[in-house]
Amino acid sequence: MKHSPVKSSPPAIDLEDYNLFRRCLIQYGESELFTDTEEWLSHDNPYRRTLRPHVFKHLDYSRPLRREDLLTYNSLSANRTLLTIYEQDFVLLPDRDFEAKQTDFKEFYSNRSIALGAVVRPWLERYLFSFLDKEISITGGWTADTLKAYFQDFADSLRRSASNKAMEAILASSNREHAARTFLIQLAGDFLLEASAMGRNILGHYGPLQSELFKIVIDEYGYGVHETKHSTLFRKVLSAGGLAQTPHAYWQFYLTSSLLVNNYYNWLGRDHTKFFRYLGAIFQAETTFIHSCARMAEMMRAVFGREVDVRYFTEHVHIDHHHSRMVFEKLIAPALATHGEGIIPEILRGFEEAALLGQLAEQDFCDQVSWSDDNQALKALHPPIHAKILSGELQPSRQQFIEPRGELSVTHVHDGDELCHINSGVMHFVTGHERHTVLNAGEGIVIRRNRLHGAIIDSEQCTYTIHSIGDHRKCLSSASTHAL
Amino acid sequence: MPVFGFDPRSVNYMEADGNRYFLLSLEGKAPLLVRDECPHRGGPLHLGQLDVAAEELHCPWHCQRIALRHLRRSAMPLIVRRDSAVVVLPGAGDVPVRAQRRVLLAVPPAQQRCEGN
Ligand code: FES
Ligand SMILES: [Fe+2]
Ligand SMILES: [Fe+2]
Ligand SMILES: [Fe+2]
Repeated sequence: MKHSPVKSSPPAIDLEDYNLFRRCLIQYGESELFTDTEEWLSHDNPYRRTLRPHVFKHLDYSRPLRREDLLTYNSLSANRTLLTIYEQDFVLLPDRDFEAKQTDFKEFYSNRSIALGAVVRPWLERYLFSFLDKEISITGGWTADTLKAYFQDFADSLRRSASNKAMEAILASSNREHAARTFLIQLAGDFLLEASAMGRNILGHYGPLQSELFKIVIDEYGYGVHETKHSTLFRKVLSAGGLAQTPHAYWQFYLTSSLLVNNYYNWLGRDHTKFFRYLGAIFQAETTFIHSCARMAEMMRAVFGREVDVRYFTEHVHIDHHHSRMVFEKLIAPALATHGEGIIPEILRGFEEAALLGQLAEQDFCDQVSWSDDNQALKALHPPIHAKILSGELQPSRQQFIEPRGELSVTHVHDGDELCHINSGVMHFVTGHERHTVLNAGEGIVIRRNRLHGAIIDSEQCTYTIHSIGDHRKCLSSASTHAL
Repeated sequence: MPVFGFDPRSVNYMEADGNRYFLLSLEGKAPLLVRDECPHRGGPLHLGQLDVAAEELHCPWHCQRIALRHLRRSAMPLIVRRDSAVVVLPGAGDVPVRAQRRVLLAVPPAQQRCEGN
């Protein structure tokens, strides 16, 4: 039986009204915490995170995202905003100088912001996660036994094949240290708050399962000893990589897919109708992590030297072996016994969704590594394409910008390829933390669709033009037409 | 080394010098005073489950099985009389010993088996 609301007319608030959502989103963005910044990093202030709210009014979230559009600007923006809303549930304090950040602290947790976020959140969740329903279907007569056989086969297959595309991409990069740092930055978004999303399922009253989940949290929190808390161990990894250790210092350098994965676990933890889905998802995550952590430890040693502190990874190789087993034997199996096999599709859905999002994130990361590595080659593509624009052979739409020294374009992505052309002055075209390509007057670069980038002006003034070229390969082929 | 006398009818758990101990009473056997910290990650063994048939104690945290043989071998030197007991604990002679009565789950018979390994 489906519940439908008892009508009280007229409704106090129509939560299905897209315009209400839109107005709330715009109002949510009207906070100094979220406006553009003049710095790449956020220094020990967990409340400030740029959301580029001035763009909110142009974004359309009325229809769910399709898989092909997962890495578009709309998606990046929705993910940044959603993570911010989720984290307003958590206690975040800076390492030091609280007094100076107290106004930000109060604003971050203000009733105004929380209330607006409550309207915005379900819309963004629907927008971001609906595609998963289409991507994965679960049918047929699943039982506890077939589920167990499937999960066992999965665990065995991981033991047999240990390849890890992200680690391979780092080791093959022309700048391994940068690629490794980019990777650690992606992890940091989640791991510095490790198990917070899990903690969302700790409260309540749900029998022995609750205590079993709590045992996993005990490990995540290092048995109450701060030095061994997993997030503390991860701070050591960041320090080994020469990176800042406060949450979201690298907010601008999170890839869309990294944010999406982080948001996914928060979504499952926050929406308790997805409790069983959460169990499937963490079984997938805990089991996979045993093996990926072994590869990550090897990568860290290969890139930063044998002496680096990789206890975070070695700890997970050990403890997630237990967690994987505990999730299956102490959570999933007893849940089936108590709540019936009808929960299996949800468990499987969580498992499959976590796997799919993990693959998407891995590919996105690999693509970003090549994007950074290929910047000189993409710079070399500027002259031939720009020549075609000058000759009129290509007539893409364009926008010109004039910016003063130090003007920073907060990182973003474009939904199609763009050609950036510097008319005068100097731009540092940024593709990651401390990585940029210098563009002088007359030079330019192809900006590939979906690839994260930003820019900063390094001359008194810089005038540049952005041409929306769509697909740079078509521009280069002789068959290109005026159709652009 | 602290020599500590207690009443085994009212005390089953103690702490001294940062270590925890509990009284493990097996049916038909003399009681043992054993370390409470699981050798794996320090899990509270007094809340574990006894598998008498397998001669094992299962830690509640990650279900590691600790052989009773091992617990017997590493048990504290203990004398139990009808209404008093005395144990010699490691550490300096003057360290305070905190004696308590706690709910022990590691008692026979094993009602629920821990299925982990
Ligand atoms: S602490 Fe006892 S099994 Fe892990
Ligand atoms: Fe962990
Ligand atoms: Fe874990
Ligand atoms: Fe751009």
